[in-house]
Amino acid sequence: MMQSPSDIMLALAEFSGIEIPAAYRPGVIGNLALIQAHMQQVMAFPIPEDIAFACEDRP
Amino acid sequence: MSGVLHGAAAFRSGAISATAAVAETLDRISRLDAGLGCFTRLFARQALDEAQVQDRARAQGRRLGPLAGVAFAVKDLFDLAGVTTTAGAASRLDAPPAARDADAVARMRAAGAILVGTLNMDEFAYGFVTRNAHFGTTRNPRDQARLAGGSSGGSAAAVAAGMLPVTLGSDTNGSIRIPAALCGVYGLRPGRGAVSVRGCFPLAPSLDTVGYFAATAQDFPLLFGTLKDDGASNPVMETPRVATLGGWFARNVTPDLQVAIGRIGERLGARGTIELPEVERARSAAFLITAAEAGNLHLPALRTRAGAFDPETRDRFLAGALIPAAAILQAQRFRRWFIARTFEAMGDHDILLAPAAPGVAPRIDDPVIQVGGRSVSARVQLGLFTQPVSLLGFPVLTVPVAAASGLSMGVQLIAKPGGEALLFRAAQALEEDGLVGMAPVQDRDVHTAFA
Repeated sequence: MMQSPSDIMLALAEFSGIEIPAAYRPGVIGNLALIQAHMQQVMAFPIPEDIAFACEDRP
Repeated sequence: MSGVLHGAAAFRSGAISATAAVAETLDRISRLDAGLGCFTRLFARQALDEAQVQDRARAQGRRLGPLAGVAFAVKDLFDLAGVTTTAGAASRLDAPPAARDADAVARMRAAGAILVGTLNMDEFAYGFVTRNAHFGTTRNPRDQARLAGGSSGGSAAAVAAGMLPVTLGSDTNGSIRIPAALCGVYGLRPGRGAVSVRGCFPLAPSLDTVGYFAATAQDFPLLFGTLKDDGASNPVMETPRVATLGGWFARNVTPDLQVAIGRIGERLGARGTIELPEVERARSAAFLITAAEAGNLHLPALRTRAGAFDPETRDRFLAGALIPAAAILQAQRFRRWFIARTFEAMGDHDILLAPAAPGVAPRIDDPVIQVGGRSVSARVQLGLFTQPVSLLGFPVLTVPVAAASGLSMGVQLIAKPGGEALLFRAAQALEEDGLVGMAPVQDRDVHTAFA
């Protein structure tokens, strides 16, 4: 059976040792839905290969 | 409330003692703050002691710093020696006190400014509204039924109410620019790296900046000179070339804010409209980077003390901690692409104009804004126009403009890196012409019944 993106992310969290108590899951899933929309925006963009990763960008 | 320059000059000239100035400030805070909720802690005794030391120094003819006699306060995420940094979180109330002042606080104090207290914020600076589960909601001095904006809401509201001429805040995705707009004060997000963030409780370290709020544009050069790292910002003397940002920045904006931006553009000689590429995606990238960095930062505390968090913040942090690495790597690469394309799009323009928030402050009992014809959460979505600009790391000064309703709105003046001085000059010109400025809040209009 196909799982929802939130289910998959929560399963991955468990895999990483991050426990999300059942009481918090509705709120976390609501936020994951928002994150999913932003992820789709970013992941869909074809970034040129010569743009490398750098986490401390200063313009 | 007079500004920093005025207050410092009054003290130096002997027109007022530091003790009298601080006592007046504390009195004003005691009368007004019950209805506004700006302050989380007051250091009245220490502030008065420090003021007396400055009065004696002046009487002895000793050299005084440029901010001597000027009171200030800081968002409750700056380290203060001997004081616990709460970052607006109940879970940190029993944290050990800071060993030393944050760099920005140390620089203000070294220049003679007198610290009077700490200011309210969204928990861990993660929000745009300053509704804090432990410290309460900061109300907008222009209409106490409305939000002050956030996360540096206490800092903005304290200046708007005339309690202080300057306060420190932080801005990751708009936390200075949005409350400045909604409360009707000036707020600077300096360029990334221009002002030290050391000693400030982080939200998203690759986007965090430290800045300040002030009542008049005239105060910005002195304050920036006090706070900036050596070598930051080069004064530019030529007339700035200005353009208005279109596309994303022209949608979801109230008509009176559109008119205000047009007038500012006209006064600054704006040469048309520029569209930045992929702005909505830039906002998404800033959102993901913030969520992931903040989630990761707080994960250890969430594992052991999740119940001490504001439930809304907790759930956002937990979700952020689950974002896959692929999305964060892509967001950071997109960030480099967006910065490069923005430089290209700006061409020889020096300043860009954009709204800071869609319009006036939302009501506290209906904390939503309209985006694309839909009502969406102000807490999460007020950063519509500030988040994409955060991704650039460019300096931004929010200038206040009056709405037809008497409330306030804000316009972002955005410069290339090192362009802070240009922004100050432009804001001063606009202020002198009466196009922007902080309208005074009358004491009689601030009601303590809201406490």
